[in-house]
This record gives sequence, structure tokens and C-alpha cells, in this order.
Amino acid sequence: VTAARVQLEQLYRELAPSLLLYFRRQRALAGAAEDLVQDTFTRVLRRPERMRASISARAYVFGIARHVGLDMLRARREHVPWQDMAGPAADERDERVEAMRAAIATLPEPQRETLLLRLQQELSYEEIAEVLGVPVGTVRSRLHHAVLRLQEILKPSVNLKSEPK
Amino acid sequence: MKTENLEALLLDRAFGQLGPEVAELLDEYLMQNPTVGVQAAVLRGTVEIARVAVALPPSTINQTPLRDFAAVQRSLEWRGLSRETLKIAACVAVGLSLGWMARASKGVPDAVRRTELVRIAPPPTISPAEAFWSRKRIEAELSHPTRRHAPLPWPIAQPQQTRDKS
Repeated sequence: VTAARVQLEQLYRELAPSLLLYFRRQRALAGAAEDLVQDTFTRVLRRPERMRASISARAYVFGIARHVGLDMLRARREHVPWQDMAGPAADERDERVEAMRAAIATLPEPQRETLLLRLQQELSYEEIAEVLGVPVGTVRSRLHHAVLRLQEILKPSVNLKSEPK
Repeated sequence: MKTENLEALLLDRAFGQLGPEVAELLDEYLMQNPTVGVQAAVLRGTVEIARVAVALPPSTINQTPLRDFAAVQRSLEWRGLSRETLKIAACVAVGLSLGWMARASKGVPDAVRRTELVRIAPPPTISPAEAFWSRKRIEAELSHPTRRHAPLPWPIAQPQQTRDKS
């Protein structure tokens, strides 16, 4: 029991900061980010044995975090449009970066969520598939369409063969 | 190479999901096909800009407060305790509700509610001299018999069986 507790505590130290940012990035959840992180790990602690069946602990924890966030939004019964809480990055003067932020905000939610899990949390395709509960092929497809759409928005002159569906 | 496969490979490479051996083969292919190489560069550029756009500055990450693990564990224990308490409270509430409903129900007969009807009457007071097995009562019965029984016929005749011939 002690060894398991030490492992869970180590997992908390590793993943809690990423989870906190994950919630804080979403304007609708930013105010309750600390509570949501605690709720997430409370659920993890309740049934830690389920983590073994997962691809990775990271994917399992983020999957629970996603459900925790969705539960809170459902409880509020209000639809808050996604809005990035990102502060100015190092390249804040780069117009392309600002345009990219605006373009990402216009993506369909499944595509944007998949893209953020890959670029922000650096989850693999398999991990993203587990978090979202979709096949790996769907993850790849969403990323493909998201990138194509971003290219279209940012550089309309670039002609790619596929069209986002 | 098919267009779909090539696009998938370019995407995997842009997202860093391509193995080193496959990436090396892809590089050779792109060197031989400069047009596709330009397309690959545009794709990678788009992904890199997106990566920068969604990244947070390190100062934000370092300033993020974090609750300690013990607080999370205490939260779990408290929730477990509160869940048990809620179960007990629910049982008590259900019991009280059923009791109240049974009491307020009109289907209960009045005789049940009237406690006077079920009271046990006090035993009659009989003096020992007049009791059933008292010597006085037995002597009176023997000296003045009030009832004589006719002797029973013996042996008892069996009833005759009659056949209905009609």
C-alpha cells in the first residue's frame, strides 16, 4: 500500500501542473482549475487499479480530467464557447502566431481538442485516442483536417489536395 | 507512393510521430521530389507555428500553485465519509417517511386505533368457596343432581345401507 501511495504521489507531482494548465487554458473552467485537478486525482485514487489497463498513466489521468471538465460544464448547463487563456508567448510580436491563435479558435471542437492534446500536452496518437475514446485513425484524421484548415485560413494561396470534411 | 499515404506520413512527421527509419526514407523521397518537399515544409511550418501559439510562457508554468498530495487524499477520505453518512441519513429518512405515511393513512381500521377495545377486562372476582372445584359446589352437585344423562346404547348399531334401485 505504501509503495502504491508513493507511486501515486509521484504521478501527482508529475501530472498535476500539466492538468492545472489544461484546465486553466479553458476560460470556462479556469476559475475552478485547482478544484478540478483535485477532483481528477480523487477519482484516480478511488480506483487506481484501472490505470494498469490504460496505455499510459498520462493518458488515463487526462481522460479522467476531460470527463471532470465536461461534468462541470454539464452541471452548469451553459455553453461557453472555447476561448484560449494563453498569455502572450515569447513570439508575441509575431503576427503569424496571433493569427494562428485566432485560427485555432475557429476550428471545430473535436479538431481543436485533438490538436491541443497533441501540441500542448504532447500526447501520442494512441494516448489521445484513449483520452477522447475514439480510434487512432480518427485522431489522425482530425489532426489532418485541422492542419489543412489552419493552412487554408492562414495562407489561402497554398493549395493542398485534400479538403476538410 | 499514394497521395493519401504520403499525406499521412508528412503529417506524422510534422507532429513528431514518425519513427527514425521511416523518417529517413521519407527524407530521401522528398529530396527526389522537390514539389512534395515544399508541401512538407509548409505543413511542418504550420504545425510549428501552432505549437508556439498554444504554448504557455515558462513563467506562467512556474507560478502555478499546486495543492499538496495530502490534501487530495483528505478530500477522498472526506468524500467516502460523507457518502456513508448520506447512506445512513437516507435510510433514516425513508424509515421516518414510511412511519409517517402509515400513521397518516386512512386505510387503517378504527378498531386498531381505539386502544379501549383491545384492553383486557379484569378477571371476575369469585370467592374460593364458590369456585368450580370448591368442596361446597361439589357437595351441592351430588346432593341435588340437576341433570341426568340417558345411558348410551351399546354396542352402537351400524346404519343400514339402502340401495336406490331407481
